[in-house]
Amino acid sequence: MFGTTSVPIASLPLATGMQLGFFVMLGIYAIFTAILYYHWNTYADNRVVSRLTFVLYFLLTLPFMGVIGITAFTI
Amino acid sequence: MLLEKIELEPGEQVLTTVRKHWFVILVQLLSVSTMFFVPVVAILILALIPPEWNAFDLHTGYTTLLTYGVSCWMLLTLLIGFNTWTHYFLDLWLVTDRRIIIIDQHAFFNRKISSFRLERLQDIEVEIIGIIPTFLDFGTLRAQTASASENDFSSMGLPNPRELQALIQGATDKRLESLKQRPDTI
Repeated sequence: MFGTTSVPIASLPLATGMQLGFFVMLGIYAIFTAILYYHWNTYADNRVVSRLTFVLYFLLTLPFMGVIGITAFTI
Repeated sequence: MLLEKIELEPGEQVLTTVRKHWFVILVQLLSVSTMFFVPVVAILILALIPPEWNAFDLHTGYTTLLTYGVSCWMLLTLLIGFNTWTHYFLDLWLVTDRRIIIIDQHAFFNRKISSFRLERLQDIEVEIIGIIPTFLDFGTLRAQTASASENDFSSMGLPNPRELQALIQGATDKRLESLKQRPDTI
């Protein structure tokens, strides 16, 4: 159903739009993760808090990244 | 890590490190959490509206698109949340027996590190305004120095500001006393 639906303004197939959105999100996520890692690794004064932050970060964000990827490529 | 970057002087001891009060980060993270759950609340409201009144019917194949949109929204708010937490944790006052180092993490690429020697401290002022800061004991600390370039440092939302003020004043007195005895240690 969605494969043939078009976004009216750009005439872009919805599935392509969603896949494009996924790659944009992936780019934002990768850049943000790199910046976050750099800051915590360089400026934090407590290694335990740094590690906990990273564990929590990946535990919370990776599932959403997975869901975005799965929905974008299975539509 | 931070202390390796700051490069303390030989024999310099860190007396305390102070971050903003937990209430400050709690309020910030609560507002991010509210944003996080906005789509969930919106979907619940839409689900409660009878289909004949609702142009956006949740039961007719929009599930994948909704899941995609909601996931994007939630991921972005999570990134904002971690950004907030990072700025909170990396923003701190470091009081040593010789100087005060103030690290202001305004944004990821906007970081200001100020340092002034205790013997240059002229005045330290505490300001607690409002009901919540009074009960939870947090407030603004202002330090005025004799430095020519920048002579006023302040930070909002610091916990136990009077205790911190007393600690800094005590350390300043000790520093001045030791400088009187051994002036060559400046």
